[in-house]
Amino acid sequence: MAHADKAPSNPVAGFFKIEGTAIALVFVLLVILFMLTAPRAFLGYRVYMSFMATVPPPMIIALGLTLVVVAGEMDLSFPSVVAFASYVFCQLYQSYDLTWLALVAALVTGTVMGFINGLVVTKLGIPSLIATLGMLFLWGGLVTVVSNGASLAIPDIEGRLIHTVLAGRIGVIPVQFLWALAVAVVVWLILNRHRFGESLLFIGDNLKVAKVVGIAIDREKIKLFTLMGLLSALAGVFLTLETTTYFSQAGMGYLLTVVAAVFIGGTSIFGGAGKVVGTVFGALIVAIIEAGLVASGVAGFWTRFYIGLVFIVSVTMNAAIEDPDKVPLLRQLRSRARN
Amino acid sequence: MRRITKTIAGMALAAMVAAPGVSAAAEAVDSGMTIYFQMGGNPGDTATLARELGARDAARVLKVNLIEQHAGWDPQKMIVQAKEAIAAQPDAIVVMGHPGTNAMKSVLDEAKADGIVVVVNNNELPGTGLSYFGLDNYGAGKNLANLTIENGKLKEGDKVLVYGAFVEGAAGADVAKGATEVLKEKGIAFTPLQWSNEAVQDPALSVPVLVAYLEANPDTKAIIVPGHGGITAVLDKVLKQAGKQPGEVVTSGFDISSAAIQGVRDGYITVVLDQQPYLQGFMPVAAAVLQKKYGLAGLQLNTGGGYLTKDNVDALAALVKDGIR
Repeated sequence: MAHADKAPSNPVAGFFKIEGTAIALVFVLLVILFMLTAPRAFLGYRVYMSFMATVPPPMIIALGLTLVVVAGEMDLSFPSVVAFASYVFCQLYQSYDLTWLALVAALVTGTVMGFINGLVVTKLGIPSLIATLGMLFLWGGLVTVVSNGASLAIPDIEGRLIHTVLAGRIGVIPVQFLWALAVAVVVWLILNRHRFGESLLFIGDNLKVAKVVGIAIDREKIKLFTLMGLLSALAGVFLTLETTTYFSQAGMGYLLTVVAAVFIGGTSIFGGAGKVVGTVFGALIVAIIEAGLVASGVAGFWTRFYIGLVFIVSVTMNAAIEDPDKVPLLRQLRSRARN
Repeated sequence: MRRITKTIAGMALAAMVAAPGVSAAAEAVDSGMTIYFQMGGNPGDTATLARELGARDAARVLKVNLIEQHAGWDPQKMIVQAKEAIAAQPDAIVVMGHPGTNAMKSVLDEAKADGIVVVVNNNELPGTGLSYFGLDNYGAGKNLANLTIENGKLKEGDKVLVYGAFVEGAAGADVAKGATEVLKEKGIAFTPLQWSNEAVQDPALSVPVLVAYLEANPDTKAIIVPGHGGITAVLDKVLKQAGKQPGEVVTSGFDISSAAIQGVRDGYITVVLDQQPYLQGFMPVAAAVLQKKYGLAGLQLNTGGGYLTKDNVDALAALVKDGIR
């Protein structure tokens, strides 16, 4: 299990055993780096406000995906769920002037889609990677058919109560970032303080053992995918409120960045262990890299090269700060130094 | 009652007189053809929807079995889809020209050998002599830059960000090239910034990048987006989040959408070029039918040249709502 680490011997190592501290340090170092290379942008507040406005949707999805990965599963259908929820919300607002009911309908839509994803995975026995890849196309195709491919714009929602509450500004701080942090707290509590989270950790760690201890595997997995659908729909509503637009490809750009955020955050690709705090910082790192590089004057074709480089360095640093022996190269060097 | 009877009798007589003509017209209209059509982007996106609607309208009128293909603006995928289309042995294929003439040569040769009509759409395949319906993309880029300079009152020494595609063959690369050449000619300094694949798919992801750029380069006078309707549509968000007032930074882009209209109305977006993609959908289907049935080939139509500013925004808004513009 993830939380069975033995007590570290020195206080610094002990500090970095606290969940998320290592990746938080990587994030802080990255911000300091960009403050040095792009002081105009990163010593001001606006760029951070921009991150806080745009990061919540991928962060909320990444939090849900963290639970999915903990259980040893994968969900690639979330971009289409985002788009579907966005469509339902926009359509109900535009046609019937519904706001809170439109929110509820969008969330119910995502929840039902997640539930069906869960059924496909558990009752048809298709591996979740393949099943949700199929559902990505299925839901994506369906929302394009239903919307007739058209985009919807709801610019007049700005200033309505729902926009103020969910995506307004407290001073200059985008409210949606606070909601995303609240979701992170809830997901952390689910994973670390709730029976459901414990079941997911068991399932991801060892399916056979999970069965032996009496966990209803299918039921828990269906609950998991349902929750993922709900969170994806919530992300879709936040995205819509921020951009005040629905278009059928909404969410597609998050596919790789969300998966990257989860794994940069330190959640195990093999399941059985997950770091919710790590995912929060992983999402922030993914969001900040390109903007930071561009503001630093890296333009043209080098941007993508450096994005990859910073990704690799971030993941390696996260592992090295937490435990240098997790990085084979460092382990070998330390071993040689000892000898 | 007598009047109605007379009217019906008159219509019947007219139908009998016109019968041979009607018969010929019915033959021309009822093409019975199958056409594979590359739509370019993704289903329903701002640069694709009007093309889809145009193609579907033409297919309905001409009774064409229309098979739509979407490549997400990926030139490699366009080649693969063209090969898949030929494998299905349709009557005609409508391809995007983004992969370039050399890359498409084997596909075109294969289609010719199989007697399949090929029509090019949106992006030209120079030297092939095929019917083409779309912009002169390079010229459109120049047009966009000139409109931005004119409407934004840019002058020599001003600094401009060009956020677009700078990889040869990528969607929008010719537009970006045209735009940057005008800036060079006018002595306006510019920074080319390649948009990411993620931002192309989800334009909201471009917002913090552009905000960071504006923060780091506060003397930026204009942002030009040569060729992406979705990113053009979020330019108002960029300026708002960067704390800029409407018009403080001149912005321009491609493809009219509801969001772009709002941006123009609010004064955050200065100029939007309109390539009238509905025509790029409708005309290739008609041309393919004409070529297959009557051998009428080598048709060319520049579909663009129009643009949206605060002066004509209200007139275009209704058409955009229906997906036609």
